Amino acid sequence: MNWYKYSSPAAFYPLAGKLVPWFAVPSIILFIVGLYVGFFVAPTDFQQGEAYRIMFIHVPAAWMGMLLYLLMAFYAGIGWAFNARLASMMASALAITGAMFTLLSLITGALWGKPTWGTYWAWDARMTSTLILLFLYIGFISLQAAIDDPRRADRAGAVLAIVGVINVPIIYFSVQWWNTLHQGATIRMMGKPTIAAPMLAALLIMLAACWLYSIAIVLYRLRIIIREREQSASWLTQGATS
Amino acid sequence: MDRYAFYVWGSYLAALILVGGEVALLIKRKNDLKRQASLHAGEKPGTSEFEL
Repeated sequence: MNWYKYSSPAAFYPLAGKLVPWFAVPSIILFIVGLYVGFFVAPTDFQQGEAYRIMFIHVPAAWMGMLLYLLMAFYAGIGWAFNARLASMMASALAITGAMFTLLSLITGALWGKPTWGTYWAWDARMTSTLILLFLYIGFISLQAAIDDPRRADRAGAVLAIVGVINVPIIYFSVQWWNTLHQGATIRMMGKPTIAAPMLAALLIMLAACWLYSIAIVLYRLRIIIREREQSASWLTQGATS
Repeated sequence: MDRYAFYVWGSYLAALILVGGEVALLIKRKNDLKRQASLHAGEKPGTSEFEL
């Protein structure tokens, strides 16, 4: 099988259409299961009480905000370096979902902060660097929208996205590098997690649901972007719309 | 839950609003594109064969 053929918008468009329901439906099921485990199976936290249940949406949203930014910068870079239209379109499709998750992590973080720290917001390193991530997303989206020529917009966006990657490790390690109000990592890439098994299960199920949701919505948006940009392409005008 | 209900439910309500908003805006964008395609094809809006 020649996978390179899917780097062409004409070949990827119908494939994306077929993939969307395969990610959207499991995502809805996992959201329901994750919320059930998070609210009815996971025990109450002995320190934070019920407020800790915000974690089941806050932590996946924060991770998705960072991971989608890395993916966006990767695709933008590929699009810029290899003049690959589809990769640049993928970067544009990722930006809005990444911004949505980053905004959600800031809102839920504020709602978690008030009962646990006594304040909605503090200018600590984790929160400030996450706010900068949101601004980077908004900058990328605005920059692309401000330039009429899509290829020029892709290149300008790619520069901003790649420069902004430096912010992602700053967010991740901020709780180790500086004395922050924000707590340290509960789950590490290496080492045992410090939370109870049902809590961890709910968190991982919600994370999987967020991933599947992101893939489904990004593929759906990518199809729309392809439609918008390739309006005059022969494969579209000849009715290849399946 | 009583003491923290506002914060917990507020968080999940915010998630619902943001995700719902994202999906709604995407559907609107698709419908606008559909309408535009119908107009270009000289058809009455909504009668195009074009499906996303």
